[in-house]
Amino acid sequence: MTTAGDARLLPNGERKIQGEYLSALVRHKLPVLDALLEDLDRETSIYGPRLFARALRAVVQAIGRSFDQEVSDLTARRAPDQTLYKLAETYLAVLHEFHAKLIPYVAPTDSSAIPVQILTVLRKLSRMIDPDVSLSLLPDWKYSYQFHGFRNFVASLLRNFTADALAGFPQWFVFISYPRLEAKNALLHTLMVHELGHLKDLIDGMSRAILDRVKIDPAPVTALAKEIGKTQIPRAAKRAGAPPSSEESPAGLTLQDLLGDRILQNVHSRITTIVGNWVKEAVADLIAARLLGPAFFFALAEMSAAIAVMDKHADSHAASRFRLGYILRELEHLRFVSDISLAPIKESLAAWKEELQSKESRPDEPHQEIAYDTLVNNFGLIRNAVETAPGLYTYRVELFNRDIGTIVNNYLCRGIPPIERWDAATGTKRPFNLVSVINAAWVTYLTRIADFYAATGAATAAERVDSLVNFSEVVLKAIEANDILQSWKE
Amino acid sequence: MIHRELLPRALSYNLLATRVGAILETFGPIGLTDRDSKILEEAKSFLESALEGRRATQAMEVTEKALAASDAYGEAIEATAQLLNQGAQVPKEVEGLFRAFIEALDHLLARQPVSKERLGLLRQFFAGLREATLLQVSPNIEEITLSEG
Repeated sequence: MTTAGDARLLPNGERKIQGEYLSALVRHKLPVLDALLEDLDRETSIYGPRLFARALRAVVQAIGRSFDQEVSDLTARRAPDQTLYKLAETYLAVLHEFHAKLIPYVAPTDSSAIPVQILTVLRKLSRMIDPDVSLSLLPDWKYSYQFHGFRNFVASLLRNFTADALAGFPQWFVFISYPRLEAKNALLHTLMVHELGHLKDLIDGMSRAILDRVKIDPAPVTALAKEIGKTQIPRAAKRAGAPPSSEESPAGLTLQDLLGDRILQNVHSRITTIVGNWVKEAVADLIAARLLGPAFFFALAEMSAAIAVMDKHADSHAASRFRLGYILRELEHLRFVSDISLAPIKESLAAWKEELQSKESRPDEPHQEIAYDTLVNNFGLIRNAVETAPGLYTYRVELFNRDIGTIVNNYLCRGIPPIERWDAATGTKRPFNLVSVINAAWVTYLTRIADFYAATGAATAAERVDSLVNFSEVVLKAIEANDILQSWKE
Repeated sequence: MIHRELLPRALSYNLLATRVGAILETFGPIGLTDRDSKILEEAKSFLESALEGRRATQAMEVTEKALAASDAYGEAIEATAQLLNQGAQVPKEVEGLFRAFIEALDHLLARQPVSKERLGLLRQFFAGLREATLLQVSPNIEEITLSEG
């Protein structure tokens, strides 16, 4: 229902809907949206994005003030009704975007679907990258991990409206989403570090600097645009009733000329988007590989197998065969393949290397093919940017070799959360390295899970499913306790 | 995946085109307010960005700036197509057309006269931009999902 007052929907043959009517619609929707956001702010759990709900509300209220101001200006200058109509129509489109794209971030979430043990650690890590970050976890029904970053959220939205700047909100709102089904899967949540890698990349401007230097070969782009033009331009000319070629057309610009330009722009824009996306993913992959060592490789391999993207390229992500290939080369560079002391993991990485090399990872789709070549030809820039990134922790094979055996044998295989270790050098107990705990969890899962099943008395298939959930809880407990201990020691 | 835009670029352009349209529609009796000047400056930036997008496309640049400019260029082409569809006569070179629009906006901002024809073409161009961008953000009124055995 709307409160359109006495505005008529069909006043006469010329104007189908009055601007006044549409304005009333905007004025009705704004307070409804505001009330919805107020409710959502109240319902959001303590782990949820309350600050984001408040930011959204502030923006909606500012949009309302902006609309009133613009309508008042138009009325003062006696603008035609159609002008008011158009303004209201655009504001309604903005409100629709808000409803569809932004409100889902603050939709009520079951707190049990938020792994709070990881949230605390991620928030701490994000603040190390930039202190002005508000990070939230978002369980999603899509089976994927995602990074959603909003920099200068309030200011950049309000730039489009006649509204005063609003203070009191963080520079960054960050959401990391994960499959709802895997809410308690500590092993797959290793992938969240890749998502945090995106934040590090955006703040340090690594991808931006890389893309400034990336060169694309123009020949295949032009050839592809010409190929597409061969079918599209004659078809469009036929539709428009234009002469078949530009030679016969008048001296002025023709639709055929424009279509040729538009096709080249489209081809270039799509390739630029793919290259940009794949460079960002490669940077985040290499950051995660350096931070986490083999654990990240195994997590991405398992996720890729689960959703069958090993050989499937998309504009957003290159196929996992390609990604896992360069991640493994990074691990080789860090001596994880040559110097790792655990034989089953050494053999597993060698087997993966063989598997990844057994098939070409080049895409078939022509835009992606050009993007792929561009990435391969410029990969040195990406590696160098990550290797020289300031303040980026690198997990070493020496730590892996020192910690993993102890954590796997003495703790995880027995169902005990690994929290502290005896440090002979200082004669004190110290928390285990958190990255070693995550790697040990993967090693146990991949090579010794039968021991965990035996320790927990899981004999049947159903009992093993439950036991694996328990294993994940042991790992989450270790992460939580480790974090508390670290905080306490600090 | 990385979330890229808060407000889709098409919608930002749509807001701009709507406002430019309103100014050109009511231009004359009361002259330009400070806010009008700001909007016309933004319109100029859009056209300069479209020109930059044309250059970046031809130079095959893959920077984030090039991508943003390329979007503006694509929308400007769509708006120009709307002009042609309405039977407007425009110069052969699209680059010349955008430059002529920038010049017209400069004249308006400097409170200098602009020919009626040029003003009319400018108004039509931004009306075309508005229509083209609105098409991109129009949601479906209904969606149907059907599964039959």
